[in-house]
Amino acid sequence: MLKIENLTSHYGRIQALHGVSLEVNEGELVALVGGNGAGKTTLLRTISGLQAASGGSVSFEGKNITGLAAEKRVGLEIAQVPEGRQVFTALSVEDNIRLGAFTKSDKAAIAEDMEKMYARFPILKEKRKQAAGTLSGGQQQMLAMARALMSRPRLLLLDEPSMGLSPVLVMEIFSIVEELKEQGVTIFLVEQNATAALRVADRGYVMETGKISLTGTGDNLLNDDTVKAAYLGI
Amino acid sequence: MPRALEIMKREHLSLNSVLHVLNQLVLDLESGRLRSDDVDYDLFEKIMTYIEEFSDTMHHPKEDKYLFPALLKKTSEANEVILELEEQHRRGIANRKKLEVHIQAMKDRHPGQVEKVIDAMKDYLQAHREHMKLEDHVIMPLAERVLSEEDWAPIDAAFNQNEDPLFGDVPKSKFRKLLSDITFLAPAPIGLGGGRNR
Repeated sequence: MLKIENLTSHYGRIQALHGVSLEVNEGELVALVGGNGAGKTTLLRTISGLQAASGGSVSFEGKNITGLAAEKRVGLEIAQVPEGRQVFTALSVEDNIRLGAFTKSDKAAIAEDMEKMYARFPILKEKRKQAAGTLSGGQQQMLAMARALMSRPRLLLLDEPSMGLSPVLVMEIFSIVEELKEQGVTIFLVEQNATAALRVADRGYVMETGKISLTGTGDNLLNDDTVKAAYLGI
Repeated sequence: MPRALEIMKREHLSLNSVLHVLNQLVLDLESGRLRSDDVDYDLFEKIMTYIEEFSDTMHHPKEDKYLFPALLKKTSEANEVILELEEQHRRGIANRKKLEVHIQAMKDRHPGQVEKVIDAMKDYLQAHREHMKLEDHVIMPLAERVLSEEDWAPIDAAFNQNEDPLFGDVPKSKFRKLLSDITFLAPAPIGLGGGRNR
């Protein structure tokens, strides 16, 4: 479904991605793990079009989308839940969710999807009139996920969804991720919490200094001595 | 890593996340941030149900029935630790029941029960932490070292049952829902703050 070949990206003269190649097949949950500054978020932003590629290619369902604008990629049913949630703090919870469907025009379908979001994330229903900036970190993460799901994505890009959350909220986030996978959503999950990510993933990639250093099934990577030493604290 | 070990570790993480919520509630009760009149008993009940069904009914009996006997058969290295863990499993059930009695008494506003709940919960949480530490740092590494593939087969099969979303000994979907409810009810920022104390 998603194929990245030899991708490079720069921040000015600094190269952040050094020829990254990876694939995400339809229905898969693929994790990308690595330390701080490895280039994980840059890669995700390059996939969603928020960061320009300086070389290589990003293809989605066989179509080269490397030069396609970010908003056009949403139309292809690719949605991103950004690192740090990035909700619109001054807007209400309801408006934040609705904004996730900005590429859709069928009002009845949007209303129906909003009800589905409220059923899946009941806390958002309770807080729907509140400004998103007043929500706690966990509540904002649920909001960011609901907003992304409103575009009915077939490929969901999740950037550090468990960052800074309590253990029970981390469990809940990963439970939702598993549930989405069971519903057929293809997921590319970027996480520093390598153990939790690799446990739910079909396959994983390890990234170091802008390059993919290792790849394998989630189980294989969890049992890999290099991964254990570097990322799992074992 | 054997499948059963992976599942046990994941189950410990899951249980730890629930105990983390319980610990926060105890700290809040003790500091006065949470008044006994404002306690969300629905949340307490779900936490205790989770511990009873997940830990005492599903997780521990499988360790007692499959993992510990396999280890005892293979090595005498951890005989004392295993006896202690088995005793802790039994004591854990009795202590949970006592704790439930104290919680009910606090709900019924019996004098002095808030302090009793705080003390009983602190002891209970501490016992759980020590118990899991022994299993994580002594028993699991030993099991990984001494048990053969053949030894693991029945243990894997037993713990694999826990992963079945619908037809496990207790369906996984039930625990998923319970954990989700606990997360919803627990006060923010530990949980989503959907309960009484929002």
